[in-house]
Amino acid sequence: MTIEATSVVPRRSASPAVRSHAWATLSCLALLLLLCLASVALGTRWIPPDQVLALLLHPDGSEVAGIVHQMRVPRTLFGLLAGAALAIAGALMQGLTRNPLADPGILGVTAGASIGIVVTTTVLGIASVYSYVWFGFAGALAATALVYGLGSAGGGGATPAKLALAGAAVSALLQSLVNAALLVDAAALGDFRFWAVGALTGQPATMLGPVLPFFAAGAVLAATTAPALNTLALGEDVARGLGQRVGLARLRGAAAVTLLAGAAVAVCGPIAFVGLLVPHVVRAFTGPDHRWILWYSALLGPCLLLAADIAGRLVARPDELPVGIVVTALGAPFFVALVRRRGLREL
Amino acid sequence: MSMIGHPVRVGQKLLAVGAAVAMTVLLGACATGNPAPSTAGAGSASSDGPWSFTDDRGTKIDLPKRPTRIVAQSHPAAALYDFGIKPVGVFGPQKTSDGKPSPQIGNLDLTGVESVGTAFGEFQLEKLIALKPDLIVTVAYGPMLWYIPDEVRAKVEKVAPIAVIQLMGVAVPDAVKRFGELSAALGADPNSPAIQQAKTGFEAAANALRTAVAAKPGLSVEVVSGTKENFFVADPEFHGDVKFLQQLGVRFVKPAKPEAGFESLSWEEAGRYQADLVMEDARPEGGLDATQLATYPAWQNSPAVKANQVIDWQTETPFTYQRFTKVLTDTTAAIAKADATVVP
Repeated sequence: MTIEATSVVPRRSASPAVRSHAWATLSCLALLLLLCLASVALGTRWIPPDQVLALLLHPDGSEVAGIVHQMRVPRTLFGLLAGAALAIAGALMQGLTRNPLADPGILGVTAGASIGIVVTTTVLGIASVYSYVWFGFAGALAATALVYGLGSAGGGGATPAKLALAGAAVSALLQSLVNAALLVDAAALGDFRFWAVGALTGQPATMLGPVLPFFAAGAVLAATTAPALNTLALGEDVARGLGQRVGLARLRGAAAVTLLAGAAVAVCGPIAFVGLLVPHVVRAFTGPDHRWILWYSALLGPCLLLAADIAGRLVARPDELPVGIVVTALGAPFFVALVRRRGLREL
Repeated sequence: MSMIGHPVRVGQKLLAVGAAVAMTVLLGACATGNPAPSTAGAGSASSDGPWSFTDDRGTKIDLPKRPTRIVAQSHPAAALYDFGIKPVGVFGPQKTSDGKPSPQIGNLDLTGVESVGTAFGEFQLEKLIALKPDLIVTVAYGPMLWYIPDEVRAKVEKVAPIAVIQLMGVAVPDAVKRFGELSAALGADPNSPAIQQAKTGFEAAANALRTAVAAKPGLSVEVVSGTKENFFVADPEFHGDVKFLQQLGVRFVKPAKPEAGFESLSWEEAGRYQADLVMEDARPEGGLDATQLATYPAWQNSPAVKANQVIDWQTETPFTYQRFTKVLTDTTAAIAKADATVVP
């Protein structure tokens, strides 16, 4: 972690702060653990908890064991990864752009992933129904690189306003290409729609290993960007005056967002609300220090996603609702209440 | 963030639109009964005088003379063609994504036939107008006109009247009869030797199926379709092809709460119903294929899958004597060699 920024953060008296963070972290971890257990134990099909536990330890090859091992465990792990990644990426975006409504979509992540996935399903056909992840990820990377390139051109480098404009333009272009492709090839629409709604069940467990390094790299980059975000929060000029290399910090942050959100969106679809909502909730109890905002976002993002996923399995039995729909349905009123109560905090 | 405009699955799941459910009840009576006698408006036989036809919505279409330029949805286009009427234009699926003819288009030779749209709701109105059609023909599932969504219906109806043949809950022979009546009104001869021969073949195949089923007492059959999202179990009363097989004696699993043709289950619940023989959606757009299905525990552990008793549900086959005979013979062959004791 870089040193220069820490001096900017007003130091609170050490021991009570540390103690309160220890408690908060423990509470978040306990909640997360509870939700993980619930996510394995609960589903559209009722399996008694003792049986779930027995099957978890000793799979017997039965259908129920398959449900636990091949369906519930993978979707829980995907929920953990995607929830953390989306929430961290959202917090990073809001900090980088100093815009409380920013989400990774501004950088073109969603539109880029969409075009990547549409290209797989239209050009390569239905047979590649699982390999779309890499095309979605590549699309997200390419789109953000393009947005960043366009946003950096001209004087002043990559300012948030220029990035937002470039992102909007690139996203609009890609989205129209997506629509055009789907109009031509109706068969691709089904796969695309499933992805676009957002679900933790779209990928087999074997996909976890290959995407993990990207999440890890993104998380490390995000952590090293946190101090710079604190300096940036004081205003660009102040940050420069304090010796912050603003352009470099933004580039590093954007790279982290791309890796985290790109991988999460490619695997689980654009579950945008997690990245918007969770940092606001977190900021309400951490205050403005981005190191803590990122940390708690990483803990509470998966909590929201898993809770929504569990709810989606229970409300429509014997059918289930995709997590993307539940997150938005649960999150939107909550977000409105949050905004009405506190006002959107200036960043 | 804007997502793609139509969050609705093209294909059968489109029927799952909530509104259809209520209307299903409303239209149930006319759809399940034999629609032929009351609406046998075969029209005037001569090609000169005024022409009229009463379609399955009960709409009486009056035209100054017999229509000759027909634009039809793929399924009725295929059906009319088997009766000897070739449309000048079609809308709806014509080719699969790998360039082969869509099963829905049947035997229709598309050379010289203009396409005015392929996707659901895609209607190239200028092309349609340029074709100067006298009559537009589509089928319906309940209140839903197939491939003519309400948004474009008024515009399409201005170009030419729409004749609708109802397929929801209409068993294959009843539907074929209606296509025959429409074809006859359009000047075809439903009693031509070729059609009579096809009809004889169809009836023989139906009888063979009846015999095969009778030889397998206790055989249960489930009709399913799987997507990554859901596992769908078909309602035999809704689908005219399944309903016909049921009339021939096949014992189908009936889902408890079907909505617009299917009960939608989560993949955890996909093993809720069990059968000796499973008919799985064969459409290329019909979601998951065999290898993808095999990744789900419910599919792996399904008794029919374990016994290797899964056959194609050829749900896109046009309802005509010529096309549907193959479905009957394929089903007969599968039933004849099926083990009826797979589900205890």
